[in-house]
Amino acid sequence: MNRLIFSASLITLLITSCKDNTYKTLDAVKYEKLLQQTVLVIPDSLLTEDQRQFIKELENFIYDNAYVKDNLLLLSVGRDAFKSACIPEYYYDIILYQFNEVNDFVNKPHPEYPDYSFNLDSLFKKSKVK
Amino acid sequence: MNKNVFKAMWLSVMAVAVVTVSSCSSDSDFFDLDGVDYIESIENNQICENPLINDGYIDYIDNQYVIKISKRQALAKGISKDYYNELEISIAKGNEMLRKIIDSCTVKGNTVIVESILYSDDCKRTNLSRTLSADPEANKLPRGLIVTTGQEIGKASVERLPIIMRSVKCNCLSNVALVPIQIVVASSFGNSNIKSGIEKNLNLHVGFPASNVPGGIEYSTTDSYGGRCAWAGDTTLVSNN
Repeated sequence: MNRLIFSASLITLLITSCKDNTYKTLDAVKYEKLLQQTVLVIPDSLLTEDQRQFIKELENFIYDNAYVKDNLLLLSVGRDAFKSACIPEYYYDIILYQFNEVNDFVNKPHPEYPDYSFNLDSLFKKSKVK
Repeated sequence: MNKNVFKAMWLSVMAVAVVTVSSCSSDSDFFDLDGVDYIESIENNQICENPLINDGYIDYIDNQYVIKISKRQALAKGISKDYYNELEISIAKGNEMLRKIIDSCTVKGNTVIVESILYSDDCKRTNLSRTLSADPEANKLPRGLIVTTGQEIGKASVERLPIIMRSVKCNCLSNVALVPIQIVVASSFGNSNIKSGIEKNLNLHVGFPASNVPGGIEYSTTDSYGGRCAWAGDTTLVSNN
């Protein structure tokens, strides 16, 4: 009986760990696939005036609706806000992924920058002023 | 049947003739005496012309190239008249191009920002803003470009920071992310100064701890697609707060 429980728990552990890894890789792959649909991967020199304007509006939208709490960069609006601002819905996922990249970076130790702390709040306020 | 054999033979003979003719013509081109003369003339010119550039007779003043030696003096130095004339024309063309670039760019404070310089070495993102200093002394200081393809740290080093190079001006551009953190580290003499910001197209001005010693510049971004940092040495002192 004990053996059965042990083997069952081992299998469960194996499945969950595999699932987690698959999810992570899929997420990065999904991000890359989504990016290919967007204007973000087009070189600046090849952007049309409309595309340039769209990127500017998207940036403004992000700076208006993002905030920092507990040294984490967060979005105050949901998927619907993107829709109502005439921004394709998949940009919501892309922006969240990019925010995660920033948050992961800020909240992990940085032995390469020993005397420097990344205060997201002050960094974000500075760029918002611009 | 006989006709077919005759046809095949005729075709093979024609093919051999064509190959022979074409190979002969390429050989004669290769051993063309004019070509050899041309190469020799270029080599001779290079021997004569290098001193003009190497001895510092061409200077860069107020964003324009200037020849500091008169035609008569150049001729006395053994430089050919044709070469001097060609140099004058090419410098005039270069200066005209520089004037056009500077006229079309925007001026912010002490820096002239030249937008939309095209780089064809990278298929990902070819556009980059670059800064030129209005101070002619600063334009002679080391400058370069650090390119990263992910979140790794890109590095550049200067063998010896010129004594007047007190800081480095950087224009950082992430490849994809709209709100990435971008970090620049200027290090020398065992110390380093770090500055960062959270913006797609970010200008950072970082001071060196010391000059007249070997120095290093590091750039990194949180964008998983990497970014670019165009850096240029500057003469101004910067506080690192």
